[in-house]
Amino acid sequence: MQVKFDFLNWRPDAEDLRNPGLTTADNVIHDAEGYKKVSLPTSGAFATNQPVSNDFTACLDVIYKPIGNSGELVAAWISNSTTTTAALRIGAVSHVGHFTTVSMATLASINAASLDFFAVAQLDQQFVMSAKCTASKLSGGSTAYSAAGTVAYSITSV
Amino acid sequence: MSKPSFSNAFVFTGSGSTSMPDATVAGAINRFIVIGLSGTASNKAYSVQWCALGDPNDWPTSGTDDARTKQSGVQVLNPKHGKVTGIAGNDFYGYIFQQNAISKATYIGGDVVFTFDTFEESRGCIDYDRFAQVDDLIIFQSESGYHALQNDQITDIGYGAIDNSYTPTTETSPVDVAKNQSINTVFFGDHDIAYNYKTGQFTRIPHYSGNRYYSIDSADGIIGQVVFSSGAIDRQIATDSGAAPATATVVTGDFELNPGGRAIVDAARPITDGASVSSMKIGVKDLPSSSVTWATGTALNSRTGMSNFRGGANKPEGRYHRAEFIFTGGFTTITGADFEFFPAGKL
Repeated sequence: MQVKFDFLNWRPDAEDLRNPGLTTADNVIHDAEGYKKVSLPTSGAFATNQPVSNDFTACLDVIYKPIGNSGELVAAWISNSTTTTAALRIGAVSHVGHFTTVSMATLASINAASLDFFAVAQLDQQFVMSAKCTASKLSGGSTAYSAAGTVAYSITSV
Repeated sequence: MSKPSFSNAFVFTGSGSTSMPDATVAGAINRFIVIGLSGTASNKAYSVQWCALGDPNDWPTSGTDDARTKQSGVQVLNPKHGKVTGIAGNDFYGYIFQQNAISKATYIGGDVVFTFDTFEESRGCIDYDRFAQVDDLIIFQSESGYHALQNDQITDIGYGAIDNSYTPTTETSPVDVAKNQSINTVFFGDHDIAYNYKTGQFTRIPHYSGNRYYSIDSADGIIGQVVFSSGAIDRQIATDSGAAPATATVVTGDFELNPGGRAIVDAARPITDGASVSSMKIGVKDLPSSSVTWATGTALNSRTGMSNFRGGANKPEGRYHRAEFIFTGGFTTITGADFEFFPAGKL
């Protein structure tokens, strides 16, 4: 005897018994024709002189958000790369030099750091960004340091 | 609102300082940037402020003549609904999300500038920017699940599907929320959830460990991921073609092939276009509460396309069956599966 089952909706909340859909649907994407495959990411093209990349070896946390409509990204990240001073940085990812640094307390060694928020909004050819991070020192207990900063950029044709 | 196209023909200019207050969230409504205020001062977490008309660099002090002239202002929302967690807008109105409420901000001009109508007092945006906006459609996460907001109407899209299994989490660090409008899909990074808002279906696309999602707009791409490895940082795109396919896993629910009786699955075949199944298993149990025993099938027969189970040491015999398909070689589309079986009595 033969029976055919259509793979209906992924419904992990439903009971396994007589669940008409799928209980697992990993690494597939749904569209009108059914479930489609997902390929692994392909190597991109971050030049080494990009600001986030420069800070990578001591980049403790980073958030990216898109801006515009051509895949441009802006980012907020926590850097501890060049000195023992941790810094919150906010900037445009693909445009060298266009980021701002918000200094934090001088920390000999960062135990942990994370971004609390990263707000981005765009109005015509101007956009604003605002971020805040919190870091704690490796030694010296649970003292927390925080920094917040806001930056505004305009986009102009060259 | 028209958006500029970014390319080498454009540069960023500006400075690291602005008169804009520190903001937890931000969005554009009409000709204003509207922000949620950051800080511990009274009411700040429940307040929004908007800039001078058409000028994100001008944030006059609220209540002054300068602010009134430029239509800039502040609105304190009801603290009982939690902090402001998201702002989504268009040319005419916007939505202000709190943790347990949604208010509609409508531009009316004059000294009032915006009216605020809190039309939802239960579902809100669970944390900062946990929503994706596609034109006037907003997909967001509340503390109870996943929802869609459009034209002031909220639909509980995750109810009965994933809300219990993948309840949105409150994280100490912002969670990635991204979209790819070309494939009608938004992504929530806390549970690696993908949601196609045209078909109304969810799936999962796990991150690389420690990576971040970002939005793209590509018919060939799925989602952008920022990859950290070997001291380098790379912006990558998971595409629909070109690169090696990610290992896909689909598992069915439990079904009764012989209602009221037992059955033995003889063979199974995925219904796919261009599939390369690396592993196919049939799970068996006799009671709904029993644990599942798995039987692994043979490689697909080149003539029938079926994986056979009859020759295995543990034939998939039982009252309830489920099937697991693992694809390592990619496929175009998978829509279902055929099963060959024969009844095996009542007891």
